[in-house]
Amino acid sequence: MKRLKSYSVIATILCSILLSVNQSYAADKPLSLDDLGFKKADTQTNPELQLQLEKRTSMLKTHQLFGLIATGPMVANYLLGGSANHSSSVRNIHMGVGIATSALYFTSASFAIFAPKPEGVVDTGNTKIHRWLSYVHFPLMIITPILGGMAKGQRDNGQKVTGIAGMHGAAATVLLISYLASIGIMTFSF
Amino acid sequence: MNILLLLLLINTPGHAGPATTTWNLEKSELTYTVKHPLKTATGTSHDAKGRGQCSNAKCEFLIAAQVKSFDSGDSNRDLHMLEVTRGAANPMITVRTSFDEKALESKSLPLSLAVEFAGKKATYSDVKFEIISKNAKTAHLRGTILLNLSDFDVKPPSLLTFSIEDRVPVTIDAMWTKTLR
Repeated sequence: MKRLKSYSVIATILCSILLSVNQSYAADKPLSLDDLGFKKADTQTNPELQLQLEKRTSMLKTHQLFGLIATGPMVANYLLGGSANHSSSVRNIHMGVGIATSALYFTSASFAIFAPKPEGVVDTGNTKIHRWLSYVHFPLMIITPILGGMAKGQRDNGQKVTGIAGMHGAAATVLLISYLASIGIMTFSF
Repeated sequence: MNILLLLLLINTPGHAGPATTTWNLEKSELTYTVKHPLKTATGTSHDAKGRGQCSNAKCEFLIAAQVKSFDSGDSNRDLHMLEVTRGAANPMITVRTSFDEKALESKSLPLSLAVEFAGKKATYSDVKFEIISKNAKTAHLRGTILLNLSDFDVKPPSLLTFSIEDRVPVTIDAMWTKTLR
């Protein structure tokens, strides 16, 4: 009985030492992300998403570049439009600059349309306004040249511009305003 | 038998050596500010997690947030930020520090912070944290780390050929609650 008692004491002392060692180890162990309660998915690296984001940035930079370049001929063509009614040669230049503007615009638009976007991302802030404005200027960028072509045809035949072709100037005004607003909203803080 | 009981009592966590105080991040707001000649933008995260442990009069704190949890109010800016900071490949930003426990009694806490971001590490010394309020169970701290993007090999994004400033202040506003073990 006495021997059993002394074994118990020795066992308890050993346990006590082990527990103390373990306890001081727990306190000395540096904190890690595992201690904070993040889900495994939160801390996992996603190289595919990184590549997708890099491609997106590259495409949106091209979108931005062509979009900014398109501003020049678009503004110039708007100003030219004022004199196109009276001169056949100005009408031809106006048409040529219009075609160049369209080429730049649709090149820019295609880079924005086809830029990859991560799943679940919803447009917010100025990006949302930028997209809404595109719903205005994108269709106008198709309609305005068609109306311009109709107006040119009528003027070249010595007729007065009538009917829907008469909307060419108004459509161009809305197009220019919405386009400049679209660029401005992404460039400056409002 | 008495010896046995005594030894068991000694090994009860509350009585074994110095007590460990654990601090848990209850509420936080991490805000970065980027400056560009044409605009200034801020992004905020409320999803940081953190813990601190003080033992033997030494404290170690760790606070971390997902890079994608920062919301600047503009989805495109957030995605671009995630891209330039390599946030999909390195999803976390972590801030680690250690200090003497008694420093928590003062009004200001000068800290040396080890920041891991964009897969790189940098240390910022003497970052002043203000102890806004402190009682037996909670502590409210606020401080600003002036991160340099170049320290993390992050190329500052540009707009119209102008880059944002390399220095990006990140303000940490954190409410901690204490538990004693």
